Amino acid sequence: MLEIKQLNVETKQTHKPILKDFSLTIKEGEIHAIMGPNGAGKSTLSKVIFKNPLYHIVSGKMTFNGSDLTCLETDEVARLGLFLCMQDPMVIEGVSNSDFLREALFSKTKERVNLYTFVKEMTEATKQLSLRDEMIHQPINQGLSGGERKKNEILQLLLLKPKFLILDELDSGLDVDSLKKVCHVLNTYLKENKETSVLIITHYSRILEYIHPDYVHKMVDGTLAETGSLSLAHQIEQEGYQINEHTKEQFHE
Amino acid sequence: MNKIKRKEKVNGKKKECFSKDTETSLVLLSDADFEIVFELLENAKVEVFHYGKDVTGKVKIHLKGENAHLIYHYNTVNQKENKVEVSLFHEYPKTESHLYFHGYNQENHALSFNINVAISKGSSGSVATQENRIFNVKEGRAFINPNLYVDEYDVEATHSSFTGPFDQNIQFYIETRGLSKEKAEQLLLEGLLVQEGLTKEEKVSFFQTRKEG
Ligand SMILES: Nc1ncnc2c1ncn2[C@@H]1O[C@H](COP(=O)(O)OP(=O)(O)OP(=O)(O)O)[C@@H](O)[C@H]1O
Ligand SMILES: [Mg+2]
Repeated sequence: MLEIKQLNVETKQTHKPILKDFSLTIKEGEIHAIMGPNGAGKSTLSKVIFKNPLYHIVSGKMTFNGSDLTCLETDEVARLGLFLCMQDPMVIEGVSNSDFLREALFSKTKERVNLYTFVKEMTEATKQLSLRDEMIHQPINQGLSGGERKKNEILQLLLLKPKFLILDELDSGLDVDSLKKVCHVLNTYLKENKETSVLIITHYSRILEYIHPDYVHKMVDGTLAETGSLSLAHQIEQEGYQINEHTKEQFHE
Repeated sequence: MNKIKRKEKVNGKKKECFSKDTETSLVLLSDADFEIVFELLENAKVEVFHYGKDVTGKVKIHLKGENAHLIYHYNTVNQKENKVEVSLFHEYPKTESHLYFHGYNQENHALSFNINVAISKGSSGSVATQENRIFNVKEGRAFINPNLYVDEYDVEATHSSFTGPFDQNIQFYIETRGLSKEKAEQLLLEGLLVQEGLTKEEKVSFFQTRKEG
């Protein structure tokens, strides 16, 4: 499904290297998690997959179901069925959630959904996520708390029905119960759409207790340093990243 | 108090006096240069939604009675060199003005808003706020010059302005949901031009922002 090989990426303006010989393959139906210290390049990876114009791909390959992502625009990547749940979803003044999502659906399917059916579906999704249904007609993320904005990302996901999910720190900002609820909603989605793949970016293993990853990767300084199973997540959580580096040094001495 | 609602085309000159104890909501459309003079008498409350399509204009407003209250939304889409000049005079106690001047600069030209507000002696308890912004889509230039002359102690006056490019992060966010660059721009433009006054469809047809297809 998603195949990234030896990807080198720098910032367009300052030529700061961020991803360094980064490789990762995610097959249909697989769930992967990436953990890594602040600034390792995790969010950048998600934005690069989505072709954020702030970054320049210096070398390497990146394909999704055979389509070369390196020569696509952001919206084209999205229309292939990828979805990015952002670390910090922003407020967009003047654009209502419903107008926005209806346009997004239209861009994807080229069919105008019946307004009534659409609002009904959206109302149902707000219920599942315990969001107030007034938000449907309010500007995107306006007046929503950090956690509610994350829920809104999932709401968009439920309506757009993507095949590949990138969840960038979905768990940050969600309280214990909300995280549980949101993960339950996602698990139901994954059960109904078995071919869907997921990339979870997180600092904590809690979310991985709900959505079980097939692989856990440790990302350090722009590249994957280690790959393992859920136990790697627990190890990272206990030992941190510094200690690992430190023990490595001791080992070399 | 009955609220009067009106919608009219304003190209060229327009002068109007709003009488005592009236409440009016006005939608104005300009697609040629304009010159507006408004006077608000005691207790007159006026809310204006003014849409300008690539125009230069002048707006002169006198708050000429206690409790006169004005809200003015100006929204413009700019494609050539344009300037809008506002002169607003608070001349009585407890008068209020709230200005929202928003522009969307589509081509590589300059758009300026010169907003002059004077609160003269004897206008105690008055409130004057303005919140102005211009977004540049391309390499256009934007100028917002707010001038405030206050000659009275007990007044409240605030202003904020923003000029700059469309926020790339926001553009990116919208595009990650599958909307093209053009569609994203169009949604943001429609959002920038306030929701009230004109319906979305009317706005779209006035500005013809929607490209075919
Ligand atoms: N557009 C940019 N311009 C300059 N530097 C950038 C840009 N984007 C990212 N960086 C830098 O690249 C590094 C990686 O940032 P990124 O946001 O990907 O980290 P992260 O792994 O997601 O961290 P966190 O866990 O804190 O979310 C950081 O040092 C960041 O400052
Ligand atoms: Mg991050």
